[in-house]
Amino acid sequence: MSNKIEKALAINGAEDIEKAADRVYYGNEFCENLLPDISVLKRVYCAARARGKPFTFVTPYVTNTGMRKLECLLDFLDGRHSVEVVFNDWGVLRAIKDQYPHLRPVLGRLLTKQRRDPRMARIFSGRQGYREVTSPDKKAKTILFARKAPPELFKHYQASVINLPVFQEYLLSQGVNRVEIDNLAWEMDIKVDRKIGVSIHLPYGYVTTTRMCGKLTLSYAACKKECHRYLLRLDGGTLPVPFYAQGNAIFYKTEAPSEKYLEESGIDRIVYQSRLPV
Amino acid sequence: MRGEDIPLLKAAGADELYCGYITEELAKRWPVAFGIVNRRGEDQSFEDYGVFKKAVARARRCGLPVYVTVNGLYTPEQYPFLLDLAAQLESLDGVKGIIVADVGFLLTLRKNGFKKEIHISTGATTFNSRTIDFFRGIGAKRIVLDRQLSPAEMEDVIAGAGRGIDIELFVIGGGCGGFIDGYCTFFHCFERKRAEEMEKGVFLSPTFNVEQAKKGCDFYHRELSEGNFKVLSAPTHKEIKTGLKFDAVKNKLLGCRICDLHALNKPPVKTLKIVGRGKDTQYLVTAVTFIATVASWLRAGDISKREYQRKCRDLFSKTFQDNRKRCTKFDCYFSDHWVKDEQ
Repeated sequence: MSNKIEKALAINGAEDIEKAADRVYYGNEFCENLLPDISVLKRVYCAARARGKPFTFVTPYVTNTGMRKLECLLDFLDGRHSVEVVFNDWGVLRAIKDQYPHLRPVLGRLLTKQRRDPRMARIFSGRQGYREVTSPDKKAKTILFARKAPPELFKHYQASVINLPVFQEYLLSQGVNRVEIDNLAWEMDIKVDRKIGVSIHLPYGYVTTTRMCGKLTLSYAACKKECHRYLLRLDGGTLPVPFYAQGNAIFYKTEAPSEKYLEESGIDRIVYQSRLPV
Repeated sequence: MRGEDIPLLKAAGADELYCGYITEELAKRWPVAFGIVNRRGEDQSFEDYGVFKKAVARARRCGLPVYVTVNGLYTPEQYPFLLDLAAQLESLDGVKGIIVADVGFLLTLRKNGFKKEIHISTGATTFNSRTIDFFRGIGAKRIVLDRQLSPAEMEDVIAGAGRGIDIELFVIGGGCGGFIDGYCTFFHCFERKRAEEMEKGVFLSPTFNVEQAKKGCDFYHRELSEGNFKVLSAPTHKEIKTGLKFDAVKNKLLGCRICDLHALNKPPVKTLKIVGRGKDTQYLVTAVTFIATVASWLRAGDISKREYQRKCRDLFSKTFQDNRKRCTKFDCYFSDHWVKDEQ
């Protein structure tokens, strides 16, 4: 792997820091119930600093309650050495800009608005063939055949808002010099100003999230931290890649793209998740 | 919204209307079925400028301002066409504003001096008061709060909203099937069925989605209910046997918040929003009448929370369930149940 591409490891605790190459990512993008206690954050941050690893704190979308908890954590990190904070909630960016001038905000992947659902690959492939559907009373049959999608549709799915110059100017004006993306199940089109770094999360891209964990697990109960006990995997059939569900989010898993592809896409950091980022 | 519905909705008590409008050039390149330009699917937006213009004029004569949803997520090559659409909207006196979810599009509208109001869609995921500050700072006039907030959380957000911006709440109608719309990237393919009969009983139908892949929430819940997911331990990812049963509860209504309005109906909450996409005229009139009735109780004042909520549940049962059953916590958009199990 090229030395030009920074390698970051998303860790779950201080014990994982030794495995990190260039940088440590710690935190959670999806659930305010999983925000760490301040004592835990301090331990992890100090362990990373002791080993000379730059530190990135990852934050979720938050209610006002979550924001108040987050502010205690950001209070600690502000003024520490060059700490990045990944935000997935525009309110968190606002808080960083208003109160924490030393933190370096990074646009999280929930806000880069890529269109991710890997099942679209079947529609783009042109290999759907045809399908016969019989009516319930068995008296009629409908033959479904592929309606040609315009080429602009695929191009749209390859790109996202981060390609937009006015959006990039705005990010830079807010001190945001890095954006985070997922690897898609098709070739991506990334056109970002050289002043903005691009991190790619591997191997798990997210598809969706909810605050109703109980609907994801069909327990219909409030959070009981089921995410700490089990996760769900679906693969096979017409799925191009496996799906995973853990806690309040659903993910898909892709193979790592080639180094050449990453460099040509302007990606300069890989965030490796050794397990699902919940 | 259809043009012919407008006087009926006005008579039922509507104060504003919102709808979709997509130009021919946008629809040709980015099929409406995929919800790219707005999140409505085929046959749920105006696509003929002449028809749309007439509907807006009709709304104006009825005293109803119109807001247009342009709440997709966009990429740069779409912008020339989006700006043409914005220019058309600016030219119509009856269009008071535009509802957006894409921050890039909002910034572009502001840069281009767009003169109408900019409202922030629920698709922009506003969960806290700081996000309201953020959007107010970049030119928004009104924000539709996310549906996945409990009543207490919503009250907290509204209390911290400050001045200079209005808040809008969804109060009845469908929501996403369990996921947060603004963060969900599952594809949706809402096509109007077109079938040509080739011979008796045999039809040919073109579709983008030949394999009829379901929208994400339906796909996920069906696969889970049918036992197609493997259960793995966290964090080792080893397959485990559990006693877990995955049965999807079928909810028809998928969303209501009227009981919460006793506490939430205060400034800067300005508008109560009804989901009308895909609904027929009878439903729309019924829903508007229902909300107008509830709003009248609140305006009259002097009603306790307990009494108000009892009346809401009675009216809900009468209006939507033919008095055959009562609503449950799973009919709410996001009850306190999801934050903390009720004892």
